[in-house]
Amino acid sequence: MALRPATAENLYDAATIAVRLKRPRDAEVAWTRVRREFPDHSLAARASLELAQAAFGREQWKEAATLAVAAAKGTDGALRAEAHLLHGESELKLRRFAAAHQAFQAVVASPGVDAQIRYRALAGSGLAMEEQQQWAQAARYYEEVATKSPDRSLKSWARERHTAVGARVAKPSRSAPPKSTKP
Amino acid sequence: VTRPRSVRLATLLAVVVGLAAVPPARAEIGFKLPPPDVRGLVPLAALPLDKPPVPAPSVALPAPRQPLPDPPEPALASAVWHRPHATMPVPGPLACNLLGAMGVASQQLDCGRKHFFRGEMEEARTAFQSAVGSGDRLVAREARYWLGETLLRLGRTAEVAAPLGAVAQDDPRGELGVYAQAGLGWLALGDRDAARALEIFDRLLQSSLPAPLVHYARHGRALALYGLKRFPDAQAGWRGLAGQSVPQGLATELNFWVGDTSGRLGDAKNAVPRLRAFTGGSQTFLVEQGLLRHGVWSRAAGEPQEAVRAWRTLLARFPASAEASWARAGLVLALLDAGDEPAARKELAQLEASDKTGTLSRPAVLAVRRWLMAADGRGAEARAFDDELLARDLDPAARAWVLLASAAEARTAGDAAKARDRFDLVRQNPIVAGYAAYAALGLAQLDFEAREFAGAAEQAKQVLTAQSVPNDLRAAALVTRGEAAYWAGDHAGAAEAYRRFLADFGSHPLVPQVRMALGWAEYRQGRHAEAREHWMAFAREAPNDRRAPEALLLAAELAAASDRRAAEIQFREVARRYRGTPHAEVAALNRAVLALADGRAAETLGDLQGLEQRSDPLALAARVRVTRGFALIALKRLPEAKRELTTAVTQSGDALGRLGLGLVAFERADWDEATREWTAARDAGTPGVGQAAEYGLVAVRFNQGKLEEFKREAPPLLARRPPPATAPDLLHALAAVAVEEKRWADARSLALQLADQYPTHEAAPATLGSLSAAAGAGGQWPLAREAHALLMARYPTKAGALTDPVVLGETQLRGGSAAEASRTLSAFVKASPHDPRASRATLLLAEAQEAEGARLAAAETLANFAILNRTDPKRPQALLTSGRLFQEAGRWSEARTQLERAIEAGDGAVLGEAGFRLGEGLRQSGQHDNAVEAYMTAAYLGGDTVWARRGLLGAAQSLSFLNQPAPATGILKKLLAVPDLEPEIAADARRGLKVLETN
Repeated sequence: MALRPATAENLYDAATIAVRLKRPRDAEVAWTRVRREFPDHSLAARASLELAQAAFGREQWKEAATLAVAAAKGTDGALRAEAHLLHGESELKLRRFAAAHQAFQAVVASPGVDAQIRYRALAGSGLAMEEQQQWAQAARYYEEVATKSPDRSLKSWARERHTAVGARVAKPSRSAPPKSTKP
Repeated sequence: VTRPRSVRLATLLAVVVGLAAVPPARAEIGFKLPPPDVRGLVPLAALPLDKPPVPAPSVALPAPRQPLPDPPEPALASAVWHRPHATMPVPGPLACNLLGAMGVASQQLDCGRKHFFRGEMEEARTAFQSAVGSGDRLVAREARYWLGETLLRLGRTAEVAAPLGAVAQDDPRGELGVYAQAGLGWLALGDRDAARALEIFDRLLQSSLPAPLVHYARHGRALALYGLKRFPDAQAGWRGLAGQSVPQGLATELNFWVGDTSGRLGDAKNAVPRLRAFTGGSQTFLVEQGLLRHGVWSRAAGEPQEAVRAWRTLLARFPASAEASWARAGLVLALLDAGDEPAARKELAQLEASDKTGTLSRPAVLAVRRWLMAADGRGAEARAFDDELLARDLDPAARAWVLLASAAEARTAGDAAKARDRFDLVRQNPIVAGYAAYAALGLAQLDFEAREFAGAAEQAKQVLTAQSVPNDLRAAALVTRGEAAYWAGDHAGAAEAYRRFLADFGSHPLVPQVRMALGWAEYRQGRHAEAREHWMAFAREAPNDRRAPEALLLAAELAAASDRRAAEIQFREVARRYRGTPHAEVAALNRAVLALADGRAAETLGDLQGLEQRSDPLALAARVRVTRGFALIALKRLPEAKRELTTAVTQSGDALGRLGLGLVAFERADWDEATREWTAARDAGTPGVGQAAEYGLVAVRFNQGKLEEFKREAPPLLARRPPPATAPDLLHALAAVAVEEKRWADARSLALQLADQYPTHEAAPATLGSLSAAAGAGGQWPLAREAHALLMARYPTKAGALTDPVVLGETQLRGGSAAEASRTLSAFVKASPHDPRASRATLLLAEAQEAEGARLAAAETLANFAILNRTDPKRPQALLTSGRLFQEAGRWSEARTQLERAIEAGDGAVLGEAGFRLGEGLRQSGQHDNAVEAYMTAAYLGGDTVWARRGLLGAAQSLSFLNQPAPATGILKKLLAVPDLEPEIAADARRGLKVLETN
């Protein structure tokens, strides 16, 4: 990875190539160097997001959350939305549901956000509300996803959750919790 | 008592005519015997030739029964990394997220895509596997498809069929379905189920395919065809991709497949560069197979060094690969091909150490043995190796092969006994049929080399009766059998073998030589037409062969026996085409000989011009001179002929030359010299020359007039059945001698023999004609008549010229055919009134006319004769006979005239009879005075004949009638006083005297 001259672009490209070569460690080294050596570069936020995703893949939720927060400070709106989404999902894994909800709502509030991202964030908020036993709120988020998401799988899943949460609204003690939010 | 007047006349005329017609005996032989006919005696010259040997074609030692197994087959595959797959959507952001983990299939699918993109196949497989169970059909279909692709890339091919099969069934026309089917095709190829793969790719190619898939579907189809060993079809499929823009990965792979398939189709030369290009790249897919095949086809293309490099690379880079062992075995062979036997032996040692089953090492060992056999000067090593191999525990087929190789080696080294022993071992234990046949041929050839021809022929015959004998072995066996049978004297057997060779191996290089040999075999059987045909065919097929002129010469010699014209043309062709060679000289001489035999002596001289100076050896030069000598004799240039023949005799003592010198002497009637030369020729010559000389000697005797010697020597010669040109002349001469000596029975027998045995010879009708004439002249009327009848029957056109009509007429007359004789003689007399024979013919005609009862005609014929032949001594008799015949016919007036003329012309008996008959006529007509005068003329001028005495009696009777008894009495007394008076006259005289005395 000795690149001369070491620019943010070169380092980012090197990371991309390392991914294709199935050398994830090298990719992470390159992304880390972008963050460290070019913290103000626009690619620094993207590198942070990549590192966050990598950490999320390794189930290192805290590191994922931290890196996602850093990425969310970037200037690219779409990237920020993705960073908030990853932050929310990481917080969910950390069972920090309020923080998670807050991050998901940041996505929802982002203007012009991609529909996939938006409804995944709404689904995340539904989960965060459900974990906090705020069934009505959760049902509301699930309903929006189930009716408006372009992802039919997601809609189907949201319908299931909505049904479960709806039952919980009627009989709160017997509702099944969402199955994969535990770290 | 009187005899019939006709008989009397006949008798009279026979005496008159016959005696005069008999020619002097010796005058009959008016010919000389010709010299011997020597035209066909000058034989054709021939070079000292016999059948040239036909070398037995070499027969390669049969290949060991345990050949090197085929190299391992390549996997029917195409590298998955460049194979196209369906279009994969770009994974969404933050794939592999929480929702996927919570069972959202779309997120799982997206996660799978992300991993697939990144080449993280195991992770992709997990993600896709999770998504497969989605209730969303589209998500599940896509997940299954990508799961299949992922599994393919993971090499977990056994698990691929289920997801791809489901996709292909679920969406057969959609993109995923089409790609899934292609995946199933590759899967079938991987399972070497080429038929199913072909079915799948054929079906795909009949549908509308996504562009990236088209080339690969074609490639897959070609691979399926390759797997089915339909190499030409496979090659055509790949050739169809040439020039098209195919992906680099596929283009690289095509080098392997096209190259290997070229090799399999026999085009190793084109296989090598393709495989060199394939193995020279950086790809790893199929590279072991590429190196293996590169070596295989390099060796097949005659580039062993390249094969060595390829296999050494394979062994160095992939020592544990499945192809390594085979590569080492191939390396042994390639090193042998390159002549590096030590290196080959090193590799062999390594191979034997690693190949415990011997599957590869055993064939390699035998290959080293084969190499030693083919290498020059390595016989000792080969024999040592044989001993080493035979000491090993070989399987029976390998042992038999080593024995065979060892026997062949021993035969080459001249160790016939060892060769025979080992060939015998193989033949008696026929583990492999081809080995036994080879051994039998080896034994046949050993017999042939030992000049045991009959044994060799029999051995070779056994090879030919064996089943499934390879062609090269059969060809060699046929030649060996033909050669052995020929020299064993079984020419029919030889011819049969040669004929089979020509029928079965029409394009074999030995065909011309075998055809030449077949010509000889036919010739030895007396089948000259067939021999000639084969020799001419040989000359046509191999015009530049050194034996071509020899074949043409032989063919022409055979043609000369039946078609001399064709032979001449052929001799001329040889003389022209091979000018300056001994064959050309012999051909020119032979053409001259044929021209001489054909009676064209001048042409002979032209052909021979200058030949005696060029001819070698001397015997040929002498033959040239002899031929020229005979031509000069034929042209009557005797002095020149004598010079040539004398030189020839001096050069070679040729009996034929002496025969020619005898001819020259004969032509000059120098009988003594002719006798000398022919005696020498007879004693020293060939049977033909001897016969001609013997005949010549007999002819000399005849021509010399030494008939006693001729009669003694000619019959034995005839009894030995002399040539047709000689016998008729001898018969002719013998018949002539018999005629001359009036040995009529012999003459008849010889003439008939001549006419029967040599009916076309000119002497035959001549002999019959002369026999007929001579027999007639000799009074042998039946013989004369028989000979003439034969002449007429067999030679009607020649009979006229050979017959004397006067003799014929007389023959007919004497044979009792008066009317026939009358016609013959009358025709002659009318046609040839001035012929010297006409007077005799006229008299014979009169006799014939009288004999057939035409007396008046006979009388007139004789009267005419008397008028026309006034000085002929036979005229008085003719007048008398004419008068008598007129008198008997009652024509007194004509009779009196003829009788008076006879009295006037004749004397003696003729005059006496004429006077008496005149007196009788006058007395009967009452003119007694004139009658007395006529009677007395007969009495006094008729001499001492009966007519004179009858005249006296008649005169007495007429005087008595005139009443003059005294003179009448006196005459009668005088008559009775004649001593030995005929009794009837005496009786009449006494009766008259008594009457007178009474009166």
